[in-house]
Amino acid sequence: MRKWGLVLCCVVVMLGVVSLNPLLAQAPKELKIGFIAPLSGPAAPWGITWLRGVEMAIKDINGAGGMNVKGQAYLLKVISEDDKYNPALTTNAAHRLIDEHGVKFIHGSITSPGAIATSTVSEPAKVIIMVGGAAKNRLGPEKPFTFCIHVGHSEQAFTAYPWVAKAFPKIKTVASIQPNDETGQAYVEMVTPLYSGLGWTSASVEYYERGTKDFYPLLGKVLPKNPDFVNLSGNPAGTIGLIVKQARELGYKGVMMATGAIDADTLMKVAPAQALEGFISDSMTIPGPHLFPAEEKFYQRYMKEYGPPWQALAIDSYDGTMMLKKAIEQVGSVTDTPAIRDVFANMTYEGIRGKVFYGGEKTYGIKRQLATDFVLSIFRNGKPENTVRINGMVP
Amino acid sequence: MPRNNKSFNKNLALVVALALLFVIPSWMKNKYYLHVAITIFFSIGLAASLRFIMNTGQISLAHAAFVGIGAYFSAVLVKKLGFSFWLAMPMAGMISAFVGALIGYCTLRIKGVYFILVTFGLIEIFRIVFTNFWKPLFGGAMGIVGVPAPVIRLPFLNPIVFSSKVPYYYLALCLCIFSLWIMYRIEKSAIGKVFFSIKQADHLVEAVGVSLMKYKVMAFTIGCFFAGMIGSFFAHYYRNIFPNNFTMWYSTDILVAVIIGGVASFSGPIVGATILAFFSEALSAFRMYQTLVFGLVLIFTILFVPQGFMGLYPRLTPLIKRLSARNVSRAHDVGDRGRVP
Repeated sequence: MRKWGLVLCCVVVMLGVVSLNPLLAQAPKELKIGFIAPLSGPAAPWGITWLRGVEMAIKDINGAGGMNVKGQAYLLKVISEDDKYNPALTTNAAHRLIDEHGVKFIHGSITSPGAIATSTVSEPAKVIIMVGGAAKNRLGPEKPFTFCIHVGHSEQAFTAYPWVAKAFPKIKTVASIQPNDETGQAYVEMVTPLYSGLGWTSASVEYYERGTKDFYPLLGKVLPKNPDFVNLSGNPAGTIGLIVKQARELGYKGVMMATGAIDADTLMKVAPAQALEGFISDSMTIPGPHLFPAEEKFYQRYMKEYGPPWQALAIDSYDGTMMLKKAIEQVGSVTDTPAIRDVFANMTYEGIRGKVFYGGEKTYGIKRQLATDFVLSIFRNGKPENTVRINGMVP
Repeated sequence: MPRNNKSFNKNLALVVALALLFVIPSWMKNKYYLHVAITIFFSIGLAASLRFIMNTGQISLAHAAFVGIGAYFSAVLVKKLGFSFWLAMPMAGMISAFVGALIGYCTLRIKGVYFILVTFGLIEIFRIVFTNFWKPLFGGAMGIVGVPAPVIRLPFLNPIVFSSKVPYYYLALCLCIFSLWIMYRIEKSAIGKVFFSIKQADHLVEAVGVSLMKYKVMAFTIGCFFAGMIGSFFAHYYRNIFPNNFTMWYSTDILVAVIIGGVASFSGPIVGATILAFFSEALSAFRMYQTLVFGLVLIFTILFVPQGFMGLYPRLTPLIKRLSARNVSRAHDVGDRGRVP
C-alpha cells in the first residue's frame, strides 16, 4: 500500500513538472517551406540569390525561437529544388514538394513559365506560392494562391518610365533589346503599351539568343533608327555590359537603361567607365543616398555571409518570408492557407525597403503583385550613384 | 529447360508484371509516386521510339523536337480548335510522323556524326520556330498555357474529366504498352530484320537490292509517330507547354536512357528510363549535382558496360548458373556424407 502511494506521488510530481515546463509541453515543430528555382545553369545567379534571401530570413526566424502559432513554436526548414529553368522539371519539383513533403508554402519558381507550371500544381492543392517572373498571365483571379513577391523589370517600368520621361524630356523614340525567350517577349508585351502615355514611340524591338557576345550586327540594325533611349531591362548584367560597350563604340550617345535586379559589379567589370557614363540602373551595390539604413545593413550582412554576386532579389525573398510568417501568426494556423492567403494579400508590412503591400488589381485582375520601393542609380565616373527612390507600384 | 517452358515463363512473368502495374493505383495513394510512375511510362515510350530509329544505325538528337511538335499540335487542336483529345492524340502522332518523314527523306542520306549534327540543327530550328513564328497560335516564348485535360464522354453518363493522377496513370501505361507492343511486333518482323541489317552492314543490304532510304525513312517516321503521340500526352498532362520544354537536353536525356539500358536489347529503354528515374529520385536532395551524376553514370556505362545494363544479363547468367551448380553439388556432398554407408 505504501509502495503504491509512493508511485502515485511520483506520477503526480512528474505530471506537474511536465505541465510547468514549456519546452517539454510544446517542443518546437518543424514547418517546411518549399523552394523551386534554377540553381544550376545560366539562370542560377537569380535562383541562388533568391534562396539566400529565404535562408537569411529563416535563420532570423529560427534564431528568435521560430514562429509562434497560437503558443506553438514552429522552426522553419527550406526544401530546395533545382528546376534548371525547365518548366516540366518545375512541375515535377512542385509535385515532390506538395505531394511527398506536404508543404503548404513554396517560394518559386522565379521565372514566368516556372511560376505558371508551379501554379498548375499548387492552386488545386491550395498551396501559397511566392513567385517572380515578368509575364502577365502568371498572376490572375483564377490563381488566388499565387503571389509575386518581386518587383521585377516589368513592374518597375510602370513607375521608372515616367521618371525617365521627366528627367529626359527629349526622349521620343525607344529601342528595346531583349533575350529571345519568355523574359524578353513578356517584357515587351507588358511595357510597350506604356509608351503612348509618355509620348514615346517604339523605334525598334530586337531579340537575340542568350549566349550572344557579338552585338554589333544587332546594333547595326537598331542604331541607324536613331532611338533616343535604348532599353536593356531584364538582361543579365554581363550582356548589358557588352551591349553598352559595343553601342558606345559604334558612336551611340543616347540614354541607356536597364532595370531588373542588375548586378552592378559584373556590369562594371564588362563595360568601361566611359561607356557606362550616364547609364541608368536599379543597382544598389553602393550604399548612399536614397537607401534606407536597413537596406545597407542587409547588403553588408549578405556580402559577409555569402559574398558576391549581389542581387536585390535577396531582399524580396527575405521580406516575402517575413510577411508570410506574420500572416501565419496572425491567422494562428499553418494549414488554413485560404485564411493565410487573405491576410497575406491585404497586409501592409514594414520591410527592408520600407512599406510593402500587394497591388496590381487593374493590371492582373487581383491584388497579388508586390509594391515596394526601388532606387534608380545613374553611373557617374564609372560608379553608380543612387539618384532617386521610386515606388514600384503596378496599377 | 525446354524452349516452350522458357517462353511460357517469360510470358507469365510479363502478365504478372502488367497485372501488378494495373493494380498499383489501388494501393499507392501517394500522388507524387503516381506522378513518378507516369513520367517513367512516357520516358520508356520515348526511349523505345528513339531506339527504334537507332535500329537503322542513326542517332537523332532531334527526338525532343518531334515530342514538341506532337505536344504543340495537340494543344492547338484541343484548346483552340475544339477537337477531342482522343482524336488529337493520334493526329499529333501523324503530324509528327509526317514532319519526320519529310525531314528524314532529306537528311537520312547522311550518316554518323554528320546526321547527329543535322539533328542538332533541327532541334534548334524547332525551338526558334515555336518561339518566334505564328505567335497567336503557338504563344511564342510564353507557350500555350491551360491546355485542357482529357475528357471521356460516354453516352448517358456524365463526362469523366482527368482531374486526378489515376486516369493519367492508366492512360500513360496503356500508351506505353501500346507503343512498345507495336514497336516490338515490327522489330520481330521481316521489316525489323532489315532495320538491323542496315545497322550492321548497310552496303551489303544495298548490294542485295534493298532500298536503304525507304527503310530508314520508315523507321524514322514510325519513331516520330510515337514521339508525337507521347508529346500529346505530355501537353495534356503538364497542361502548359513552352519551347524550352523540348530542347537538345531533353533529347540527350532520352538518348542517355537508351544507352544506359542497352541499345541492343528491346528491354534496354525500359531498364534505362527506370534507372534514370531512380537516380533522379535518389538525388532529389542534391538536384544541383544531378547532371554531374548522370554524366558519370553515362561514362561508367560506356566504359565498363558498353552494351548497357541489359548487356549485363548474358554476362551474369553463366556466373549465376555456375554458382547455383556449385551450391547444388555442395548440397549433394552434404547429403552423401549424411547417408548410412
